[in-house]
Amino acid sequence: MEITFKFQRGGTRAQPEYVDYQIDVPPEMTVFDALVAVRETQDGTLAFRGSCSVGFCGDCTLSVNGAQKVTCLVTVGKTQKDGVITVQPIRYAPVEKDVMHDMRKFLWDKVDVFARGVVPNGGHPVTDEELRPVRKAMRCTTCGLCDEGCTVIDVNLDFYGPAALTKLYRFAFDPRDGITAERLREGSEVHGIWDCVHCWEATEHCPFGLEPTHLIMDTRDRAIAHGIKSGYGNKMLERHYDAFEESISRKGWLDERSVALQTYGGFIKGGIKTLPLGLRALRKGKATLKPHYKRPGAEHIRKIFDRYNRSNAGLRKEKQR
Amino acid sequence: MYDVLVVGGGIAGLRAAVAAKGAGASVALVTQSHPTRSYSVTVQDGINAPDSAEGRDSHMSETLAAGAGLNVASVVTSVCNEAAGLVEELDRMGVPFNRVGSVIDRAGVSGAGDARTAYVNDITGLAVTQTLWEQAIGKGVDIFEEWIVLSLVIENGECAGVVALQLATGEVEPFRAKGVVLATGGPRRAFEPSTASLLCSGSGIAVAYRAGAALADMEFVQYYPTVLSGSRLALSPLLLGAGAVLEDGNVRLNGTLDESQVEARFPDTLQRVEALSGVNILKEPAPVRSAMSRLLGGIDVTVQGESSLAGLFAAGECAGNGFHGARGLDGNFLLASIASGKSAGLAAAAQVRPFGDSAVGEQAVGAVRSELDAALGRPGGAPVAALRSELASLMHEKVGESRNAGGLNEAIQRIRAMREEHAQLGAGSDARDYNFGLVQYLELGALLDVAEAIAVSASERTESRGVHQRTDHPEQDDAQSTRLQVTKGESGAQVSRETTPAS
Amino acid sequence: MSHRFAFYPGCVSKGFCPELYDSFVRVAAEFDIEVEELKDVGCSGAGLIPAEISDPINARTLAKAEAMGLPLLTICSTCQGVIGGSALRLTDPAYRARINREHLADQGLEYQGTTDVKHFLWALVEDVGLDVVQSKIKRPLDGLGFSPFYGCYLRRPIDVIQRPERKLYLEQVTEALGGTNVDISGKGKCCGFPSLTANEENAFAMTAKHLGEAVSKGADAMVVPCPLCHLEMDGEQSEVEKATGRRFDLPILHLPQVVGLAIGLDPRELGLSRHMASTKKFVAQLQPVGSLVGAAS
Ligand code: SF4
Ligand code: SF4
Ligand code: SF4
Ligand code: FES
Repeated sequence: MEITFKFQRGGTRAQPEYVDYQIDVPPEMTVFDALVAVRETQDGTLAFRGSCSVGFCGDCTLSVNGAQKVTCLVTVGKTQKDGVITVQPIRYAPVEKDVMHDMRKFLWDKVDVFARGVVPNGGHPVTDEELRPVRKAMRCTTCGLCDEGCTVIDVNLDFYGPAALTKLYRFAFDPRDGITAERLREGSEVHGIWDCVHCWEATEHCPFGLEPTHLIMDTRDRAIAHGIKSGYGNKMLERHYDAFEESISRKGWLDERSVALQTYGGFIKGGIKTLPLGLRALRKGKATLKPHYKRPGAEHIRKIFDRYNRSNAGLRKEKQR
Repeated sequence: MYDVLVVGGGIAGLRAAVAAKGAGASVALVTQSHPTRSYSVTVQDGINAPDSAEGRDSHMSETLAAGAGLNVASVVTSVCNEAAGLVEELDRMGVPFNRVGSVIDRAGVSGAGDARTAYVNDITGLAVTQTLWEQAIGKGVDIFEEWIVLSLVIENGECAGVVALQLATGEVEPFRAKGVVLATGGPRRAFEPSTASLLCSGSGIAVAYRAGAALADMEFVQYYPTVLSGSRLALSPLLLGAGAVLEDGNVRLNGTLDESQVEARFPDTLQRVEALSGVNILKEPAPVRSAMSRLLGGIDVTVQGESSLAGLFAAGECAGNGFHGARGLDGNFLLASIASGKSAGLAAAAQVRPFGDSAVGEQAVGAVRSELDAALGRPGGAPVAALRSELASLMHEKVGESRNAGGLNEAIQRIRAMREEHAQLGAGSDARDYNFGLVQYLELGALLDVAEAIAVSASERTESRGVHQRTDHPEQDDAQSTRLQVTKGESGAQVSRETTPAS
Repeated sequence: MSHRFAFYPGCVSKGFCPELYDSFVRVAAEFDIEVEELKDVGCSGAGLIPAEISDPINARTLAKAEAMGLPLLTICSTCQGVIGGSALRLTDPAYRARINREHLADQGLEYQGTTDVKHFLWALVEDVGLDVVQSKIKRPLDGLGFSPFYGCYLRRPIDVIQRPERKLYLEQVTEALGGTNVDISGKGKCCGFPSLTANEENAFAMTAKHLGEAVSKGADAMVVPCPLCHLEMDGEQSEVEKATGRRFDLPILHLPQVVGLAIGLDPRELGLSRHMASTKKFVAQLQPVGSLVGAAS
């Protein structure tokens, strides 16, 4: 079928400059193969990446007709609209030339931080069950589509992003690794796991079903089990978590007033720049001063917490060392 | 300046870099793509590594039987003996091998007499590549991504580094080193159909060959029978071993595994096949065909990876150390890459040689620069692509699964003529940054050299053995149980016969 | 026909957003939604507490609803998403058995895995029906532009929300009520609230993006099905304005408030005056109750 590739060469995402290329290809050909054919026969200076053509190297990610895809896994026939396929860089990724993304900046510099290999702990024999999380994370092709959909990267490119945090997960859950706590602390630095807003976008965007948001949430749970609730001296975050936990485990319910007071309380004297919401709400009369009563059944909730704390006591000690 | 310079970011190259680094050498890895984008990540086959003495014996004897008298016996012995240890070592580095309880599982691949293949679901290649890359990062290997190696720096007849082109800028720079390990993969792009990625250009073989290194076993080109139609995806021998059959041009599940078991073991296969061909293997058969999947020979090296040029080592698919002989076994390919990568890395790190003279590096760079400048000025693009696809069909038809003297001669003549045509062509544009027209032109040059060596070697072997099948010489000839070497001569590839039998 | 639910109000609707609780109770009554409020249950965990703790807490909640033979109704996207996520994990029989054994057995409870968890938005469209909703309109919202803002949990992950058509209910409701849909690109993105303590800069950037887009496209108000989104979009609006130097002045309405207005309830009774971002201008634009404008449509 006759296809016109409108290929972005220059301009901005909002005001792209396109160059058109026509090519006759079978509809079941993949978009990536068709693009390679265009480059090989019409213009060798067209810049885009990709190599394996079978969906494993993760290198051929592009925006095609407005949808972000691993382009060797979608066909020309299904992608084209009225014979046209518009090719653009993915959102948020800086561009080096044409649709050649600066993957170092967008992705690799961040993945590298968490990629340093297993440091053997010389430990016990490992079961298949224990390795499943690692095996799941290793399915990641680093295609970057989760970062491409990420709410936080949208507003702050410095956020490590789900692809890099998937690499962190891979190590945080590897029973053979000897520096789990250290890795979790690194991942808890600013722009790390605690900056994820668990919006599930990453899970929705991963074309291979890795569920990166879930992986980040599991990594957080793991960090908490190690007693790590923030790695970069964000005391507020740590206190917020503690206050939250305390409220629920004591009363069964969240009492925002006491959480707000405990979270921000100590900071007011130090002169924080914004008056916390809770206090503003109180002032405006939106919230009442009536405290939350302890819920019936709160002792059952407490028990659940106690059990958790008992079973993770060993890990928390590890942190103190 | 590095003690060891590794070229190629796939499994063999990474294994070499990690080994050399572990031995205390300073190491750089120069690669055409990010390491986790290399061809290796697509490999869904596993690693043969039997965990018992009897298993080892049967592994060895099946490897030798497949090799049909052309394996280098000492290499087979050493690789098979090391196999289990190599897998254990990868496991400690972080490869999450499937286990039964806490023991690494061994699966049976189609055709194997024994269950001996260690694996990570259907992503063994991806998992091993990632793990080795993580180790390289952790150990501080310097990685140069998106550089294409164009020639070797030769000083007093020894290899003293490489000259490489940076894709992003068009810069040409020397990388000086005491030892160079080539691990650039095979020339799959010289055949169509094949399982090639865009990076499988055989460039390392060409670079070594042009510098005078000998090649070996070049006539053995192995096809893989179950490559998804219309695609380059090989349906793995593990899938066939676990519960699928090849029947009338289709791969279909045979019911040994239930749906949920297939989903658990082969999630990535299911997804890729569905995306690439619209077939859900759980429900319907997947159409397949046979396609060229690897060259068994390559740069002639010893079990340590030493080539005929001092200072130059090779590993992985670009190396021909005689492990496979005339036909390779499923599950032996990753094993060969890992074993040869590790030995080449260690051997390169163990060399005691001084650094070469920087002036020599500069000279080598100068020569490459002026060649490239000329190529940038010549027309290219479509005619280069046309030549490449003509070459790929020619190789498939005349130098593929079935060969004869007439076809081979025709191929050799045509390849030589194509080389003349190639010399008139170039990049098609003088852009320096990301000039894929230039890459395509350089790639074709490498493919033509390697293709000629393959065809000449195939024409010399006037018998049928292993994957080398000649319709005009259908029988095996015991007088030809010696390996063929190819070197570059004045008028093209020259074949010589090793005098002693291989095994 | 009445619709019965075990009701899980969530703590925010009883704490910082009492107007949500109150307006829901008023509106539910009008649509024969009968709720039995669960008192002896714990907070869902809000995605902050590890699943190892929140799954047992939520299993307990689900078991109580199950024992009553009722589906669980939520009015908070976060409660919905978090309890829904636990419910999904608890469909695994082995996991459920372990939670039952370790945490519920000693209270004489056992969760069988059957409780359906529904947000008020879903119940409104699926159980009550948009035709019934329309039939009760006394004050069509004609001429008013509403930007829907789902936040994260009512649109993802797909296995928790179960039906993809649920991703469009919010605008269907406002349009059924006569309002104009003012779509914004980030309607299913994060509001910023979860990042408030961790990284305020990121949080404000997100909030500013959504508010800015709604305002520039001409929305008169934003509708939210989640009190946490409300705390961010409404409660933090002035702070976001301070931090970004932009004025938004956009009223943020809880879903039951919007429905309540259309069926003729009094804005004050619905708690509109309790918001931080002023709703005065918006209220002034409302038609008088009983207005026939657009009633024919
Ligand atoms: S879940 Fe976290 S990491 Fe994933 S897209 Fe949302 S904010 Fe980004
Ligand atoms: S997690 Fe999924 S979307 Fe993200 S980089 Fe890996 S494969 Fe791509
Ligand atoms: S999710 Fe939020 S509103 Fe729901 S119960 Fe927990 S804290 Fe309360
Ligand atoms: S080219 Fe490798 S994933 Fe598309």
